[in-house]
Amino acid sequence: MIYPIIKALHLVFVVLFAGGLLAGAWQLASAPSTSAGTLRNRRQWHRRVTTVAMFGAWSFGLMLAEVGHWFPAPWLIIKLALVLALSALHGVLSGRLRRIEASPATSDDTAFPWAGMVILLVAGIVFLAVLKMPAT
Amino acid sequence: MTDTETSTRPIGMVMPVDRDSRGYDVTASGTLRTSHPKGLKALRLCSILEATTLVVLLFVAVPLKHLVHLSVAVTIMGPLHGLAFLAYVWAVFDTTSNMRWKAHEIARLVLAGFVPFAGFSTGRYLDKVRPTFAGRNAG
Repeated sequence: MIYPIIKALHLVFVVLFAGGLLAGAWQLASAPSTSAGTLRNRRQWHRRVTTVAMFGAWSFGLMLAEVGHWFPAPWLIIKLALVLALSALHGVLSGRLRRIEASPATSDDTAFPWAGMVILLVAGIVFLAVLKMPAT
Repeated sequence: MTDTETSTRPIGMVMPVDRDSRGYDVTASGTLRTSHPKGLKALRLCSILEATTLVVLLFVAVPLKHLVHLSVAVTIMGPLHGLAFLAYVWAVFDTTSNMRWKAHEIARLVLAGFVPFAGFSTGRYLDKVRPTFAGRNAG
């Protein structure tokens, strides 16, 4: 019974985390035409919701792996690498959002496909988690 | 201070900078120069946590599992270290992103997460590469 509960909590945080990352990527792209107050509100969301969701997704994900005895399945190791990349991307977005809020004129991120990277990484993670491909 | 001056600044050399009302160091022209002190503090804390969990995992939990077949320590420390490692990598990128850190400085910080005991020296390394914050974080 505990496994489905942990899985549900993990998924709740994953959805919030992925949604927050996409919103952060969109925020970077739209920063030059956004007021300072809106930038501040959006970064607060990024810090209070997306960052908390990331820590929640990690915590319950690691619990799932432990309770489900998934270590050291190859698909999980690859998934962890993608999660690490996604977390690093979140760190990059957080830093850039903070910088843009503090100094809006410095925005130089509008051309980089942050959202595309988020979508690719999330898609890879979801496929690995659902298919759980065994080692051949 | 210009970009050229920043890029050629020797490691360990303290440069005079101003700090604005938000706590950022700024150049004479008013642009941000480097990371926020709170971010650097968080990075130091994460590096110590990560290094501690890695040392306990490798030098206490793993030997207990293989020498006396007590696997509970690895069961606890494995996920704890995983969490600490993810938090550390996240803190590295959160602190350094778009803040004029050099690639080799970021690479050194990330690699420190993989080497036992290396995380304990990260605080000293941050003092070297970002000396303007040394002793100034208390305010």
